[in-house]
Amino acid sequence: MFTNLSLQQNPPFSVPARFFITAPLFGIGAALVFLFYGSGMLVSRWSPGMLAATHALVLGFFATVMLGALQQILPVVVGVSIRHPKRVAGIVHLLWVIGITLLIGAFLWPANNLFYIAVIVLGSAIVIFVGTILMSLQRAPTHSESMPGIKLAVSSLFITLVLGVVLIFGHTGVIPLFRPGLTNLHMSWGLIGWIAMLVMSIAWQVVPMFQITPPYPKWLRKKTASFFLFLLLAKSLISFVSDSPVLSLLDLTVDILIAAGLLVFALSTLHLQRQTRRKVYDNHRYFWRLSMMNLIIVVILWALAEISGNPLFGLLAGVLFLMGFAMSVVTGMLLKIIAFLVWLHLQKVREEAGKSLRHIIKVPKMKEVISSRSSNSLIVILMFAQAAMLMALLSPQHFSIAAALCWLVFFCTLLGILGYAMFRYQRFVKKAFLV
Amino acid sequence: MPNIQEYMTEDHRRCDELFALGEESVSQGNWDRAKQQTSEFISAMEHHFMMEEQVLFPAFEQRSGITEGPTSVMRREHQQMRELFGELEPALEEKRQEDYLDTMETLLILMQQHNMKEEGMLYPMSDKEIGVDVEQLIADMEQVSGQ
Repeated sequence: MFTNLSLQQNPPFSVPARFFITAPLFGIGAALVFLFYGSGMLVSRWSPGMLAATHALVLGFFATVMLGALQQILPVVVGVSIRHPKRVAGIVHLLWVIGITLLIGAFLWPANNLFYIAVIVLGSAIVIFVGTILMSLQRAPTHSESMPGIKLAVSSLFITLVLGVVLIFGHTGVIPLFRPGLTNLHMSWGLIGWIAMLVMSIAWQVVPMFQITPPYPKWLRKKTASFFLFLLLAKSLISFVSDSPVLSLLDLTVDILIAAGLLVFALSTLHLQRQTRRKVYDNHRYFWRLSMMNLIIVVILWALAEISGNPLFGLLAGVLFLMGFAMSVVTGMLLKIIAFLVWLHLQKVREEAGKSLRHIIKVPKMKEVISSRSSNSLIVILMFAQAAMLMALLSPQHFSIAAALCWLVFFCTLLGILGYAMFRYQRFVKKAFLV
Repeated sequence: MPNIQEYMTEDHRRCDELFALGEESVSQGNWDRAKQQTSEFISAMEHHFMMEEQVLFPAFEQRSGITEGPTSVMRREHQQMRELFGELEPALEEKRQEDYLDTMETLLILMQQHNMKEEGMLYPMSDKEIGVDVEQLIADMEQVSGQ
């Protein structure tokens, strides 16, 4: 009955690690694009710099971390692991990195052929990845509460990609360019369906357990995925029908419900955190708190945009969603996951190396791999970078360079921290085989 | 009708609370209280492990016919946690605050990812497999002594 259960099958360290270490490199790429294009980049949603930097961040940073993390957490959360993890990770990672690089290149130096190659390479990576994950989920032995959310997130990534491909055909002039309607839909599936849904599904498990708080309310865990799925489908349907006052009212209602859903999530997370039993200082909690505060501000800015009709508020909301909400929580989780994985895998290395070794070398624990001081400085840099980004949006001429530099420092620091963790891992493995 | 899922999950939460107390005392430098609380925490954990290793896992293995599956992984993770318990005591004796807190941090993640697997999969599966005998099984688990 349960023969497929694979609680033990943590993928090899190299599987998630290669994704994690690649992510800040794309972050650095985005910051460099921003630095190079400066304030000119922020003048329009459609400027080449803006499109390149956004995709470097969303695909290169966020999606890359999430792809790595998903392969790691599947055995823990739903009890299945991916078959042939190393091979799948190797192929997906290679195609993924090449595809994103080509796409960024195509935005910066527009050439139709470059777009098409990027689409094919990136598309193959996503199809392989999404296919493998959905296939594994079919084998899941029980229905964890997070499963519908994870399924929706992974499917949304796929839908986002399909919409992106259609947009690229518009961009290269093969078909009409449905802007901004289709772009907005592409963003809704990507930001809400993929990023927010994944963060929420993971939060239901991770926040109560790692921060020792009461669980999220049951109705929230049970209903969120279908709530957002319904809203995203409604939004998609509405956008395909021609404009009419009734439909735009309906569209606004859908948006309000999405915003309300996000707000409920942010508030309940903050509420749970206040009830934590864990009284010691833990910077992980602050990454989450920062993220949730940002999410609340995003909802407020979005409401202001709707009320005032000023597109600047919409831009602020979108940027803060990524660089505030998503960046804080993803970075916080990333530090924790890497530190733990290094310990976990080295523990195994030590066990395999035999009894003689056990007393000779000590496996570094989490804070030896990533010290509290490094994560503390990272969170401070992150807050500076977020503030600088807001200033840059309000006054591009004065603050663009400063904001770009802040983000460059942030991603370089992150790369340094992750690089050091991997160096500790390698050094231990070498030592274990030398003894 | 009692079930394994609820009974054992509640016990996990009890261990979590004891975990948090020990950690808090050490962070405040209250070493005497920390020693007491840490040993309560370890006893609670050991008791939980015993309930599983002596009663629940054998019952699950017998009913499902899987001996090399999830239960063997859970046993191995218990062992890893026991190794970390072993590092807490010297840290307490020598009042090495940072070392103690770091061990606890590592233990927390190990413990919680372990709990996630049990609460999300192993316990619901055990409830299904063991069916009507659950009440008896819980009674048997209550008989198990901690040390």
